[in-house]
Amino acid sequence: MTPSPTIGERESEVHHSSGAPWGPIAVIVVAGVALRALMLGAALPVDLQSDESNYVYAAVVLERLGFFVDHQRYLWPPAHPWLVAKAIGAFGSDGLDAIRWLHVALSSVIGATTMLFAWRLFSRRAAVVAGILWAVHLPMAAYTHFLWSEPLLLALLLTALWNLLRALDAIEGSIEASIPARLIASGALFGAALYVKELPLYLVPLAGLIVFVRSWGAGPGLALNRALLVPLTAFVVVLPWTLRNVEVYDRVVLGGSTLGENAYVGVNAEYMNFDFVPLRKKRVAMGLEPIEAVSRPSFTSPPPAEEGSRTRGWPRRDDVVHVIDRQSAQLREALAYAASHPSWTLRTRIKKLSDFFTPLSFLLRSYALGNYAEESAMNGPPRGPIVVWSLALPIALLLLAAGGFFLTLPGGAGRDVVALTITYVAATSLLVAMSRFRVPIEPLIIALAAGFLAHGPATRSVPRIVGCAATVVALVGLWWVSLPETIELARMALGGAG
Amino acid sequence: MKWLPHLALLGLAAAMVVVARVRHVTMDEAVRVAFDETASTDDRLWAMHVAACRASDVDPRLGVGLAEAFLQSGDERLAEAAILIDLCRHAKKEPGAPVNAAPPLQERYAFAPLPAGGWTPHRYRSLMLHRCKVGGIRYGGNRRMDLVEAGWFIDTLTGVDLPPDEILRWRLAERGVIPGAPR
Repeated sequence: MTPSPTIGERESEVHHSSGAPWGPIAVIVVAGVALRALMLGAALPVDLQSDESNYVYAAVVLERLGFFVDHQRYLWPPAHPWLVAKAIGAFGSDGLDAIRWLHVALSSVIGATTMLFAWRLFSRRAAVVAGILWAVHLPMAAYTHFLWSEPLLLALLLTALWNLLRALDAIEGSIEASIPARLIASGALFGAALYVKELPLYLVPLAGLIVFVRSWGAGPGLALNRALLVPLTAFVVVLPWTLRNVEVYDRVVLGGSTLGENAYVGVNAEYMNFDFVPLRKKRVAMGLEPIEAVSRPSFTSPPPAEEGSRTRGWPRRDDVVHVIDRQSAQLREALAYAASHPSWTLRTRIKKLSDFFTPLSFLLRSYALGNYAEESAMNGPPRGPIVVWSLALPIALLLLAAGGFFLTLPGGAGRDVVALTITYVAATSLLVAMSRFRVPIEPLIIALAAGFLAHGPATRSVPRIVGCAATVVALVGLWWVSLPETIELARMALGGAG
Repeated sequence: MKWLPHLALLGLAAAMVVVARVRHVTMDEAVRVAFDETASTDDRLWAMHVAACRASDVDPRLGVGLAEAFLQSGDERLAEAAILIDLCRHAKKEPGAPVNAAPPLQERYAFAPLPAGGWTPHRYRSLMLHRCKVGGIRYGGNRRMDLVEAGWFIDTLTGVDLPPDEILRWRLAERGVIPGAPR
């Protein structure tokens, strides 16, 4: 039996190999895209859910009246509604399905980048494993038939991170010529991603910080020179929209402005998780209590002092007319609420993390909602296996990714980028969490899991082993926190009464 | 040479800021254009949008005066724009109305008796824009568009006929878009 190469040998393979494994990437991406196309064909027609309707509303207003309307509770960035409006203009009512097909096409970028990450972080073998895992990742695949902006965001965010990583490789290898181009490409893609969601807003300066630290050996002047390129380029790319917002709102808004509404939802007495909220009506019709009613009260119940009072928590600041000002007003309310209820804040943040690392997904939510037509190929015999697979896969991937990160992944720029991105996105979930908010890091989780599957543990470092064990224990604990809701939703998704 | 990309980016940013400053419209100018019946529809729409979003306090000039002007203009696009959240957030509630009462002008327009010919594309769009906005009932919104309703809305933009009146009425009532309508 051939022994597994060491981490050093794998690094050497990646850095000195003739190039990325484009052949396997092409084959697997075609297979993954074909599966998504089949899934889309099976799912159609699929009704609009929650924010999908609001995207369509913004798009039809843009198409009909020529300007981008905010949604009173928040201002979304414009790219996704703009694309929907263009699709409506070109294809009429088939335009909504045209966007879904665009998502299928964009998944090729997501699949290829996922494999590239696995190749860069580990090896060619890991890239192939990552490709297979991506191809069969049905919860991710389902986003191609939803009208959320995640596929567009992922295509831009992943390529931004990929260019950042290659720039860091060039810095490490002193390949001066390609450094500025990679950094500018990364910044431009981050800027483009800000037109889709404001999620990357604070990731951009952190990316610059990594570049600065990794360039320190070249001298502080050059380190600063390189570090500024990513945020500066992103800023210039998002500037036209920012200036539009200055004109319309008289306020500086880069990307979108949703923080205050998220603060209302996430730092308030009532527990809300949008994996469950849309199911309330259906459960009422079924004579069932809301899923949230089965949750463990230790992690969701409002502060004891407010039990029994007529109104709990704090209301939306509808008295503040200005949309952008309302965000900051609500953020202040949330901070004050959190400060006056510290123990509640702590225990409910544990629940947020639990909701973030959930094995649930919007695919399962769609099944539970009954969004697929009875005669659809998504229903019938495949339904059970799809639901079980979609529930089991995230659990397996998260556990394997813990092993991949702590026990297989070597140190260096790749580790920095992965750690920063996962930590950053997970940190945003401390405000509002649901399965959809984990989608931006799912490709990195796949890459890490693939590294572990392809190479197993490659270190005996005690701190790393302890880190891995602690992460596994934390994940199991977080799944236990939300186990009752997970079981309820899984039952509904399987077609039972819940 | 190493700072050339930075300088180029800063130059580009500066150029964009200059263009934005040149094209800047003051609040007074935006309000004037929005009311100006001689201005083009697109100019009035943009001016309304800027004025309504920029205002930091409820402005009755916008929520009552401009809303009435747009709704009664005879221009379908202006009337539909008056129903959006922009002017609804400046609406003046009727005396004694509950805090959560819908904006009265927009509510009356969206639920006015149908013309003799029944549902028209404009009336359907007005109803959907009013009922499906985010923000809750205090702005007139009460639910989101589903796929069928969105499809009909898009059809009105592309000249495809709406379904017969009774189908529309039945479905919108069933979905609660029209409260209390017979099914």
